[in-house]
Amino acid sequence: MTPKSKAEAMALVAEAEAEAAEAEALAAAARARARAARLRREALVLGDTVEDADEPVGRRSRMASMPMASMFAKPAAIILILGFAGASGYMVWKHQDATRQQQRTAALVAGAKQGVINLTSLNFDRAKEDVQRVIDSSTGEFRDQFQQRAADFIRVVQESKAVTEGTVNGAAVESMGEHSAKVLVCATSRVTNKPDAKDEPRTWRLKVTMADDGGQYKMSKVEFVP
Amino acid sequence: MTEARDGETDSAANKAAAEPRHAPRRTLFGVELVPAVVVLLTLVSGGLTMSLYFKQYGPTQQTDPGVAATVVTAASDGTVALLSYSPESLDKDFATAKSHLSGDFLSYYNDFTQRIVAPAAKQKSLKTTARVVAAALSELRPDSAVVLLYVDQTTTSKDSPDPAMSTSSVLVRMARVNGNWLIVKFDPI
Repeated sequence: MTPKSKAEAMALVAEAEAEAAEAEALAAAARARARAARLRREALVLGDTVEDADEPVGRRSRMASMPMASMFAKPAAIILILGFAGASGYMVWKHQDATRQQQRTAALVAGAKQGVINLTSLNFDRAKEDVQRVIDSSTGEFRDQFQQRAADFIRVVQESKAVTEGTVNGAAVESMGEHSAKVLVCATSRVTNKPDAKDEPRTWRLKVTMADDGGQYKMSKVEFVP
Repeated sequence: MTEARDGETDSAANKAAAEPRHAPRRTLFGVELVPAVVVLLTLVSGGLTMSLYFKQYGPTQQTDPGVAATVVTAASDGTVALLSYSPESLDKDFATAKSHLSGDFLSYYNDFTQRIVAPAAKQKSLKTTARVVAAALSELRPDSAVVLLYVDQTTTSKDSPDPAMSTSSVLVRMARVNGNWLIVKFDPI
């Protein structure tokens, strides 16, 4: 080996050492980068956890202990609320229906009672008005028939020289259709202007068909139940 | 993992709370609004339903058309049983009638049949058959009712073997006793 080559060799060694050092430094840097990345990752997770800790502790711990319950609690509650609302709506509707029916029944009974009172309370002194009142509280078939015989009827009442007063003993709806209904009316008529009259009070068992006439229930048929 | 599940639950249950990172949960005095409202709504709707059921629906159902028909039938059957008897089957007829009656009227009927009807029926061979020609419900409450009946009664006796027909109208008051509608008052009008 020549000195020159020796010097050369020394230089080569130094170069190799330098290269090795460089490689070592790179490796260290890589390790450091990896560690830094790991730390960053951990720091991120930690940061999340810290952020989550702002939420109420109770909710978080409940969720952790009952994952299924928490998952279904709200949908179940909403279904329950909808169910309750539906049931309430149905019951309110049913009640309104029943109330309407009751009001209709009351109107029918009141109309039938008044019609029968008009029919059984006749004063010979004002027969025309009384008969007109009966016509006014009737409709349909009964009204037509009664109107046709009104003149005869007025004469009979006038000739009787009687004042009769009708009272209703009992009235109830027997059956109800959409636009008409049958009402039983038990009524008594008494002659009031002849105290010594031999006319006994007369009791009538009637079956009155009521029909809707412009929002008002009027008599469309009056049957005597013998 | 926990985060992912939390997010899913929230979005399924309520979108308002689905993005806790972006929008803070709505709170009022430190109480979370959405769960609080859900709980409140559940309780309020549940309470409303219960109160409607017991205060309105129950009584309404107890006076529905089905019950009305039952009451009218019970009143008619009871009246026919009460007014129909023949001397050869008096005890059986009275027993049948009694099964339709209740309260003071039952005691009155017992007394009346023992003292008056039974001797008369036997002595005069009184036989009577009643028929309801029309019936209508006058009043209906969950535990009581009034029924208006038109009754025809045919009577024969030793003295007058030809059937005698009599007509009457009766207001029958009914009461619900152990689920059965029984006659507690019988007023001819």
